[in-house]
Amino acid sequence: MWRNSQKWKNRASRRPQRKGEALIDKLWIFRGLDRGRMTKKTLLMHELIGLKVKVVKSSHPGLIGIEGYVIDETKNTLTILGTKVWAIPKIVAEFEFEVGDKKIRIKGEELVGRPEMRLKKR
Amino acid sequence: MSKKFSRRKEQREKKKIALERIDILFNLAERVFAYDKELANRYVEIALAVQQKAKVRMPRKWKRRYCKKCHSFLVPGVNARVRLRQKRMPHVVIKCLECGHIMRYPYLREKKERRKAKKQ
Repeated sequence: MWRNSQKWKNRASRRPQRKGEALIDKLWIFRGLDRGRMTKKTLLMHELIGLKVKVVKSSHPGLIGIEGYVIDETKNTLTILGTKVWAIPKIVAEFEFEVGDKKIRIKGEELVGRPEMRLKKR
Repeated sequence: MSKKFSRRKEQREKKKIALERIDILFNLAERVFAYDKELANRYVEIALAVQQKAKVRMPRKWKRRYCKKCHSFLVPGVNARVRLRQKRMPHVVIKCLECGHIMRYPYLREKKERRKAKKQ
């Protein structure tokens, strides 16, 4: 049976369809991680995965107000996990990250680049 | 001269950040593993990329927690087998149960030190 083979994913209905969807009710995993000394300056080079984020501004009105934790990052998108899983292009939006009790606002254009390449930039 | 110095300082800062990132990613992988294995593997992948780009050493804590061949996150007892062996030289054997890769870590040096301490 295809459902039992390891080669394919089980895509039957009510099963997680996208990456990270299995975590939807388990947001507590991301809470209470030590984030080192992250400031606005180092955020650009630092890890975004695991941070709480909110989309503040966007050229696409549907994206505004999305809130959740970042679970994945590619060159041009952030995958955000809230009540749903969203993949948001970095270029169109402005994000507000929550680091500890600080809030850092940043434009998505500055974040463009693969996660390991951002370390090297500048 | 001063320019060179500041550049070196910047480099050091970069390496520090890279180490922090690796620690964060592996911690997350550990937490996520129970629910989503593939996401944990993805975090390991990013951590490895960061480590290679910044040219830092993998922290000792996390060195044996991923497979060197298939880069999957390993949890002893779940998808990894850990054994101590004595033949030829004492070593730890870790087998990745995802791909079957075997990793060996000798601990001859530690044993010799202990022997030396005993003698004194």
